[in-house]
Amino acid sequence: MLKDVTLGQYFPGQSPLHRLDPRAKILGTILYIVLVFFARSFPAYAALLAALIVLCAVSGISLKLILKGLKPVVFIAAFTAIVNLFWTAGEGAPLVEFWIVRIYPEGIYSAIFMLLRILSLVIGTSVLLTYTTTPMDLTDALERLLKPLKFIGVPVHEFAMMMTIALRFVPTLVEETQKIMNAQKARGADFESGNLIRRVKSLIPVLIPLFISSFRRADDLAIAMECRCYHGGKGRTRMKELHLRFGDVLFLFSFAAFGVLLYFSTPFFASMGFYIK
Amino acid sequence: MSVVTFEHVGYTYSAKTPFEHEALKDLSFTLQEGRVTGLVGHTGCGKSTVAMLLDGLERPTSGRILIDGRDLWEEPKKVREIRRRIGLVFQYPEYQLFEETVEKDIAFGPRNLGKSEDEIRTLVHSAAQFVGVGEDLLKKSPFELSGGERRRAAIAGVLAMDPELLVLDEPAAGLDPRGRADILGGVCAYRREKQNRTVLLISHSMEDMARFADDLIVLKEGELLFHGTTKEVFCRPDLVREAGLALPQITRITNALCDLGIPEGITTTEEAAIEILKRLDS
Ligand SMILES: Nc1ncnc2c1ncn2[C@@H]1O[C@H](COP(=O)(O)OP(=O)(O)OP(=O)(O)O)[C@@H](O)[C@H]1O
Ligand SMILES: [Mg+2]
Repeated sequence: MLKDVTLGQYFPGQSPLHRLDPRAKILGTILYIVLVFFARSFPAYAALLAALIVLCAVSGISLKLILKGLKPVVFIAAFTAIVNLFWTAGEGAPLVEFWIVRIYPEGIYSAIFMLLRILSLVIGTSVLLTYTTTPMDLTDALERLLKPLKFIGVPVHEFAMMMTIALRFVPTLVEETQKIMNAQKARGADFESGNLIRRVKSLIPVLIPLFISSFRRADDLAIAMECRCYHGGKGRTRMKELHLRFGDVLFLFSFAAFGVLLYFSTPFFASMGFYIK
Repeated sequence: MSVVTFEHVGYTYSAKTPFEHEALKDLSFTLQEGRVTGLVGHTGCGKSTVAMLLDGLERPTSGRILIDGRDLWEEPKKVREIRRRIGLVFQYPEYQLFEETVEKDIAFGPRNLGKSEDEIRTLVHSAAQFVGVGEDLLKKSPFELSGGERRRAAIAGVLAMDPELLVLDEPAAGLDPRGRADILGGVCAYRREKQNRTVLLISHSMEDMARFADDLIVLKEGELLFHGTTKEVFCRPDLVREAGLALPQITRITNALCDLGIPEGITTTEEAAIEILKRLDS
């Protein structure tokens, strides 16, 4: 059960996507998200999906893992698609009509598009960012990108450090939860049967030790950091400096060019009748 | 109960992901009924994994685990039933404590088994006594205890379930010599009281094994290296070294003195003293 938490997890590898500068990946991801929302014609979508498939192939992450990462959003995606299917009113005659249900061709289109949009959003961001970038790189890059905000008094470094620590401890907490659950199961605890109230109650023996160990861990970490003279971001240098290389710039420019092309081609395709909504 | 047999058991962590790790390979052995079997091996050789599989907390990737001749996973829904008969004390079990008082925490296991309040009280007090948790400690919050006291409380929590098979994963790790002897001795006293229950004792301390284990299973990198009586293993320094372990100093000395006619595989200082004195007298 808990082992299925792959969302937001890094998979080590040596692909070009893994080696890309994390800043380039963050900017690329933002661009990608914008594109997913701007793409409103069939050809634009086809191009976007093609780009996504290329990215997946380059990342070297197996299809199975990518699909597994979709598990948590399957419900939302299906729900959105169904809502769109039934609630989109079209101009022509409905395809199906009985009782209060009317399905129009437009409804089918928008359901498919919604589904594609959500799935490509999740796959794209995870392949481009979370699966191929270590959490450390990610926060480093965020800190660098948000640095300008320091001048208006935003504690960028502190936020980045908090995020690093939070991300760092997600797998640890998952593992710890599993361990405590196993220990209580070995003492006869039952997490699987009974009604909702009983099940929630059965989690108490897991949650209390989990909270206690989290607090202890936070304390230990704070002490350990202080012992190593951590005193916030001022005057701190880094061990690994990020350097933009030619490949990173090339990636960003080609991705941006692709986006611009996609954006300006939309009216053109629309005039040819490919537009949706 | 409970004849436990591992038949070609293999276990892989995070199977089919980049983090795949084969922890156990084709492991077969039978735990002798009514004996203390020690499971030894170097760090990371898969000892805790064996314990977890034995308690049905994970399913073996290959092979079968037979309990009284029946496959543990024959009916996955029944695994819980079998688990009730096995008491597993995890490595560093302190973190499992959660109740307001130690007494209530020790009672958690027997209560889950559906025992009556009277039975629970008896079980809790006798289990607490064996591992040296006094009456005053029973009334305290488990979070006010020292590390060693917490360890005892956690072990008592499993003993109180009155299991037919007891599995202890490094019960004495990180304790002082006195604490080690107390806990291991307490467990043995408990076992004797219960008509010699079967125990699987996991440790990498050969000194502890010398004192408490009848049989030994030696693991190396997830594979069975040797299974025999403790004496047999102590006569095979090569094997012990191959497993990444060290025999107790006294065994190494007496093994080196075998020219004097001292038998190989001496386990404890007392035994060595007797043998040496015998040679000196004659
Ligand atoms: N949850 C896990 N995920 C992946 N690999 C694991 C996991 N738990 C253990 N392993 C690996 O499986 C192997 C066996 O682990 P196990 O905990 O059984 O060792 P052990 O013999 O109990 O060691 P120790 O003496 O240190 O307790 C180790 O190499 C370990 O890295
Ligand atoms: Mg272990």
